[in-house]
Amino acid sequence: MSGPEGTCFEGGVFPAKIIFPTDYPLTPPKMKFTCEMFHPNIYSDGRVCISILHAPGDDPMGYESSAERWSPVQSVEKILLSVVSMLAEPNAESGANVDASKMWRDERELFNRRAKEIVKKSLGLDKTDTS
Amino acid sequence: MAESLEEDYTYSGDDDDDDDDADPNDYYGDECMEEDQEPVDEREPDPEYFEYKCLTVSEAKTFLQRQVEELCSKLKVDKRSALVLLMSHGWLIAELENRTEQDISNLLIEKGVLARHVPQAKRSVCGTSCSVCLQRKPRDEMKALLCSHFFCKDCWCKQFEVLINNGIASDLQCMAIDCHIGAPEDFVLSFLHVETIRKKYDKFIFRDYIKSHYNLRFCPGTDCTMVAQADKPQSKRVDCSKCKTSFCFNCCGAYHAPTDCETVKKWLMKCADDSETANYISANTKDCPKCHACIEKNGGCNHMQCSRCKHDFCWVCMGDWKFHGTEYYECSRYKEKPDIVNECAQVKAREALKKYLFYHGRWENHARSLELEAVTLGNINKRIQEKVMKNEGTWIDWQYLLDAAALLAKCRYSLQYTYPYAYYLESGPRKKLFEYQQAQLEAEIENLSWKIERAEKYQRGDLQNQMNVAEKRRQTLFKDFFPT
Repeated sequence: MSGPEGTCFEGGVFPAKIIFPTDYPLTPPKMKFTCEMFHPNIYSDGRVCISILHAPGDDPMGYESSAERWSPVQSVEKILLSVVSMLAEPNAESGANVDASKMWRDERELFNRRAKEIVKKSLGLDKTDTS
Repeated sequence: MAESLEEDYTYSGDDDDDDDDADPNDYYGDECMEEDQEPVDEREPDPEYFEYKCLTVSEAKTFLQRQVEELCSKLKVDKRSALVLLMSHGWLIAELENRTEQDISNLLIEKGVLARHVPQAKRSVCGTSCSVCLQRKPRDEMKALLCSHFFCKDCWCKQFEVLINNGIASDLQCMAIDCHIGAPEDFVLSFLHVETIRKKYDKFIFRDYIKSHYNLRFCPGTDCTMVAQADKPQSKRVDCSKCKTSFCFNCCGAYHAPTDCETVKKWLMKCADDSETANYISANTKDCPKCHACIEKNGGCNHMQCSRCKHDFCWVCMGDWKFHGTEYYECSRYKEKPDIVNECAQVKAREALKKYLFYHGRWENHARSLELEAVTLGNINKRIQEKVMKNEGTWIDWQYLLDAAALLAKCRYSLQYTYPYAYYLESGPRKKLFEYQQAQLEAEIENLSWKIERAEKYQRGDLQNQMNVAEKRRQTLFKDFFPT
């Protein structure tokens, strides 16, 4: 997945796995980034936390009665779109990564810098040889 | 609301009421569950009195059914609409009956009972292929809710099974994206063919009804299916007529008078959170007498050096080590407390901790006493058996001992729950009064416990008298501090 343009994740290429359960499409697949990520809605192990991927009845943050839910007719394309828009606009209120949420909310500059580092890492560029 | 209906379920609890557990004529005291109801004296209503009924599942279902029917006839809507409206308003018919027709239909749209627009038949668009499994299916296998989103029977069935296994019942909806049309019971049931899943659905949907109901509560007892019903929900005691669990109607937790639901919740949370940590800190650490850093002693030597300020002191007397010299055990002599009563945060924290541990210790202690007294009750039963065998009186003659044990348990239970109340009570004359009454109650309870354990040595009258005194103390405290 490439980082959306015009955001702090611009230019990055982030590998991720989508794991489909045996009863797909009745229950949603899981998505996990396999590279290092730093984002309010991505757990430190790479799992993505967005409403569209939540199993029915499972609402860990207890906030999303109105948010977009999983439905058996949702498509993988829709999931990927949602994840891209999540990268562009984190939801700091329901943080999966509390540190990232805090930094996103209070120290945006620092967050942007951290995101840039992640982008570089995803491209295999070490800090020293960047232009 | 449905007052006229409720009479049907009233069981005659009040008939075998006694105004006093210690009534010498009350040989059947433990058979009925009204221990806590009472006084006949109406000038002084018992603050613990609470009117409620225990319904079985089928009684509760009938009751709900009647409420649905009542709303149907009042609003001229069908059962499904009435049900959804009731669930979203805590089953308060009064809140719904005066709404305008427009208001009601808006509500129904919002709740997914009615479709916002009359949908055009999308069947032709979808053809006969199901958009979930992407397979072509014969026309008659395609089903839809009133939103006309057609899916095949198999997919509906599997979807419902998955969701029901996740505990979703009354919120089952259409599978289409952003479609919030709810699935009525008969629609769901038409796809469920496995008996276990039908039962599950039935159970969950009943649970959803009760959970949304203002006047009904599930008994929290293990595997108990009874439902308590009260016209005016209050945080008062309910004794389940089946499993004998007593719980607070308002919060469904263990009964906690005279403390209120909020306070007891705070207290229990506090106990669960930090009692162990607090105990450890208090038992194993002291503050450095100079800089008040919290210090844990991890070796045998009592000569301590604070790692922060390098102050040398004695762990035993907390005095400066310099003055210990060679006569180490001088510090066993009692001295005035050194002047460390500073307003430092740590001193305050320790004070707060001390206060908490004081109350928590008593709370725990009474909980333990309750357990031990349950053992005593077992012994009493044995002793009574023996006496009856030896022809020393009949079973009935010794019944008063059981009454006494039951009363003791009740009083001690209340006493236990006075401690969280006292912990959160602000100091002042009211707290003084509370603590005075609490002490009185405690003293009488200990007397009673003493006498019950040595029941043979005391006259029956003596014991009876002690029971009356203890119960009186309890009621006095409740009258002053437990809101009616």
